[in-house]
Amino acid sequence: MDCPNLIPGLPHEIAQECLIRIPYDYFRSVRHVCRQWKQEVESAPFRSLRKETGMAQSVVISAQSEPSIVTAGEQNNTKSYTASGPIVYRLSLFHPDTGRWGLLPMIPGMPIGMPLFCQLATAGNKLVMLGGWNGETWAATDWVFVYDFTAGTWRQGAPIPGPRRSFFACAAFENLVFVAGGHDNDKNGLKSAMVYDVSSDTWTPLPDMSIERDEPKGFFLNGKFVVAGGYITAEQGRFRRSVQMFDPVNWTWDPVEENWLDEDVKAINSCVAVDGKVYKLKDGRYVAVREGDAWRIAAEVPADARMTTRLVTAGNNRLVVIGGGSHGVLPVAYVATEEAGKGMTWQRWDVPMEYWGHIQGICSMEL
Amino acid sequence: MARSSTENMITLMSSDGEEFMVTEKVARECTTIRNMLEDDCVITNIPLPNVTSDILSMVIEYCMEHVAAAEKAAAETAEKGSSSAPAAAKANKDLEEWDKAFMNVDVYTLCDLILAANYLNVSGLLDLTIQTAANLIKGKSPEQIRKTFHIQNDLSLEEEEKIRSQTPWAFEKSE
Repeated sequence: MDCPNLIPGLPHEIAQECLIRIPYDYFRSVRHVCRQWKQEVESAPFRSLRKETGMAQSVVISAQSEPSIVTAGEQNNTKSYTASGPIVYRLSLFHPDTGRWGLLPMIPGMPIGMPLFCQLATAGNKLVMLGGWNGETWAATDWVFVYDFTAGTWRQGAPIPGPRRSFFACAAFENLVFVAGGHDNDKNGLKSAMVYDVSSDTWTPLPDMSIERDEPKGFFLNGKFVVAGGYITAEQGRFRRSVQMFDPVNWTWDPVEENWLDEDVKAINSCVAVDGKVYKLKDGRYVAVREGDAWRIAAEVPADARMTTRLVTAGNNRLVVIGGGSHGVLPVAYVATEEAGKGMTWQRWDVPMEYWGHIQGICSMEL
Repeated sequence: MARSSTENMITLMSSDGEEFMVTEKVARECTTIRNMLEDDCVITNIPLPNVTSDILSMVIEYCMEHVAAAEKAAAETAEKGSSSAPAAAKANKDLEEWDKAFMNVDVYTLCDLILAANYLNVSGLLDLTIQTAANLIKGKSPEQIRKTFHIQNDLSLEEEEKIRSQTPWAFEKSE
């Protein structure tokens, strides 16, 4: 071998075995040891190896408001929080394997916190934050910021082209982040779509969808970008049950599929795909799964997580539900694993008080 | 016990010519040796040219401890008909403690143990030693990591400056 060993005295594979066991929050130090270590931890094979060997860590990232916490006296030992004062959104991390929470560093130069209603997507070891409203002026932005979990740094990406876009569908596949629909500054629903390449920092337009879709949900299913639900300009708030899927191989939109979603179209934002299956919240108390052309109730959401419930995927084909946090119910996080024939099993984690804020955007990744 | 007296003994020879007599059961903890024994069951003397006597004695110590722990657990199960969960948990914890104390070695020894565990294919020891090396990296500064593993810093001054100017990782600890 031309290059020196990763660890002097140890074969490459063994040194690699050693590096893949290091938790991701230490990567920043690790990549500054020498060039070889930097290359190793930044490489795609390194990430794959962590996944294959079960060393990858699942992380749920959410744009969450900073709770203003009020402690109502030591004696009755009750705590509550209020949402008074300016609402500042930051990015919280939840680790489904350990129940541990944390915070991502703020975007440099953004004193007012994360943009409101920004979209989050994950591509490889990167988190991509798109759009949202300026926290100070509440004007829709074209901002793109990329957080590199290996380097522990933010960079600003090329802005979203076209009209200022709010409440669009967004989902990532490998290094590509797809964006579709939403509305412009005049509340006109949008048909247009585009894709952001995280590695080259460039935007490419996609063909238009068949109809405009305002407030749709985006996710990837079997290699296709699904833009689900939403409503057209003339039918404000009347969410459709149809979806349209973009096929990146043929670079075309498949025909619109009617009645693809279940009747609870307002819960469209909870739609997620994991391992080729689509899950969604239903009627405020169920997790439904799409099988064939029909939706089946897969599980009941635990009673204390039925308020302001958020659904997101986690590694190893798991689901995470974060809920509670209003009407006197404390926020709680559940990690759900579906076992064949046994249904869902739920693992409960208390949420530390510092992370009791309201969640807007949410996504997950494996590091 | 009667069994141990009738058990086959194997002689392992280190690279520096030292001989170690071990029971076949202990020797079989090393997959590499187990394969040799299965290929040729009359073999009683195995030269190990890649392992020095001080490292080999440590590998044997590890294997003996783990064989003894497994035998003890098996004996308890046989005696009571089933293993009691608290006793099993305690035994596991004791063995973990033993492993931890066993890993109280310098980095050179640790690397030699990794190589020996890899060559002899002792999966438990390989896992233990690699995890120990990984633990030595956690929470250390780049300079401390370099010092620990004797790694040359080949980053240019420019690269290092870039590193220093970057926003520090602001990971918040929570319970």
